[in-house]
Amino acid sequence: MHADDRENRLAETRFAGELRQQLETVAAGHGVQEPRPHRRRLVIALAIGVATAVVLGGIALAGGVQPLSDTFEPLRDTFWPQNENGQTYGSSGLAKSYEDEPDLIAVSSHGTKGFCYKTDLDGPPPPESPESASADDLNLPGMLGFAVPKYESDDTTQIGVFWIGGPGGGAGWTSLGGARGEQTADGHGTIITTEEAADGSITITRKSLDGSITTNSAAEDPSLRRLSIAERPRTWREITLWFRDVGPKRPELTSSESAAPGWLAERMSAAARGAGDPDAVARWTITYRRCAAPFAGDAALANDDVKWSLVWIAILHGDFTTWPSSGSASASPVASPTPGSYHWIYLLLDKDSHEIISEGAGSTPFDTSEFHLQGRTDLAEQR
Amino acid sequence: MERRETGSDEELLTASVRRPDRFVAFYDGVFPGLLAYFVLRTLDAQVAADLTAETLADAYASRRRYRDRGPGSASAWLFTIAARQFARYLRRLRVEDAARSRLGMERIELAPDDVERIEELIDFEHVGREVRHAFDTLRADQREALRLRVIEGCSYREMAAELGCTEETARARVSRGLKQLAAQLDG
Repeated sequence: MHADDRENRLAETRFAGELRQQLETVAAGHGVQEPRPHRRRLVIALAIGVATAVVLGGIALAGGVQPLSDTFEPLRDTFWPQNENGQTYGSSGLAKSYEDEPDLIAVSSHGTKGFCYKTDLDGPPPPESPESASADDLNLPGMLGFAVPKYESDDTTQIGVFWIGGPGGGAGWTSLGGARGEQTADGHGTIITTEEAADGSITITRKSLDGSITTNSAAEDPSLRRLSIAERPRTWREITLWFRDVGPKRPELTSSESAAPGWLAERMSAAARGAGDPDAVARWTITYRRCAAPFAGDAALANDDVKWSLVWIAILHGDFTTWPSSGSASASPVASPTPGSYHWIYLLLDKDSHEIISEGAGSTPFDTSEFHLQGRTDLAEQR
Repeated sequence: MERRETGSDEELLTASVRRPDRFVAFYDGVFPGLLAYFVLRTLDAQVAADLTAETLADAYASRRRYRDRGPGSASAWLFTIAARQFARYLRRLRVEDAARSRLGMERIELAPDDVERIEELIDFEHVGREVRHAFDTLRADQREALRLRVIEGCSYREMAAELGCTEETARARVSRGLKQLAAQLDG
């Protein structure tokens, strides 16, 4: 039988008929004539009024409360205004779920309002492979914060940058594999990402307000040649306006800080249980995390604005099916993904408060055995 | 299944904003190609059916964002959604149902006859040859890891005991083996 004939026979399957029937039902449910865009606000206002009456009437008559979400559900498709490019925009606070959020989400920073792409606010995607995980260090930009462009509601006029997560002054990460990177923005709103690979090669990417992106590597640009240790800090500061050399130097870890305390073992066990695999294997280490005072306009950061704090990183290997668990206390700016199957999860915990600063998960096996993490715990033996 | 409305895909999709029933006619035209697209990529009839349904539900929900940019633009728009759904499936090895849930659509379990008809699109003999060839090109430790995990269904703990390595290493070998296999098959 010819391939085209085989393809055409797909339309004769029972599946094709049932799917068509479901779509017909959905289309009929929306009505033949949907409200025109300029009528939407009136319709929504009327609907809210009717819904309020229904709720109040329901309470009065039945002594119960009707869920408002049920009443509003049919209106969700028409809830957000659209710009000329067809992008929806508005406050994420009005959204019922991640999927319901508009394309452009309202943000406010440095005293100005604007909109950021929902996809930008999601931050870097989780590592797709062990190799990429080692390169971006367990999504550390997501842990420590990152900058995204801020636009007018037309989604094309960039009016600045919005810092999300992290301390507010910028984001920096150091790979367990040796690579490191930093991200900041200059006074003109240009987002500058500087990455140094394990072999010492440096790549600097600048995304300007006009949307143009330039990437230079030391090999292509003599001014960006591999720098000596002596000249690197000064030049990096000049290039990135980064607070790399502001504030105290990174303290040395002492031996007493390298043992996993009991509370950490309990948190790791709880996280593994909550994610569906109490027999997971945990690998962990303590490290310093750089924090800066909230970013205030273009003002330069002073020494007092920067400090180092101790954090624990725990990586749990297992077969996790319920992450993020209902008890998850994520402070991550990255939107919670849909529960699924993950091979590892990480926790970043504050040493003093024991609170989870951020957490994440990966669906691809991540071999941490090659990294110099300080400890390994078989959580099954803890039970 | 008969096509009850006429008009180009672009006209039907544009009209479906005001007349949702036109989307069903759009569906009639694009369904076979869309299902075939997923079948040939997933080699799994049920997964392909789920992806097809989710893609169409997603397309229905977001049809207001479609802009008619000439012949072929409706198909390009739909297959952009399809590619995004497929990428999500590859990342999570699970078909999302968010769009169907929002619209109140239920998952359709394929009947055996449907599975057979959909699988007619797959040239299993050719696929088998390709897979065997790609499998042979893997490193010995990756082949062994895939055999234990995929064919024998061992847990990573059992694999670690069998292979004399850590679970993390066993996972890495499976991951790298699958990636290598995928690269070979794509090439």
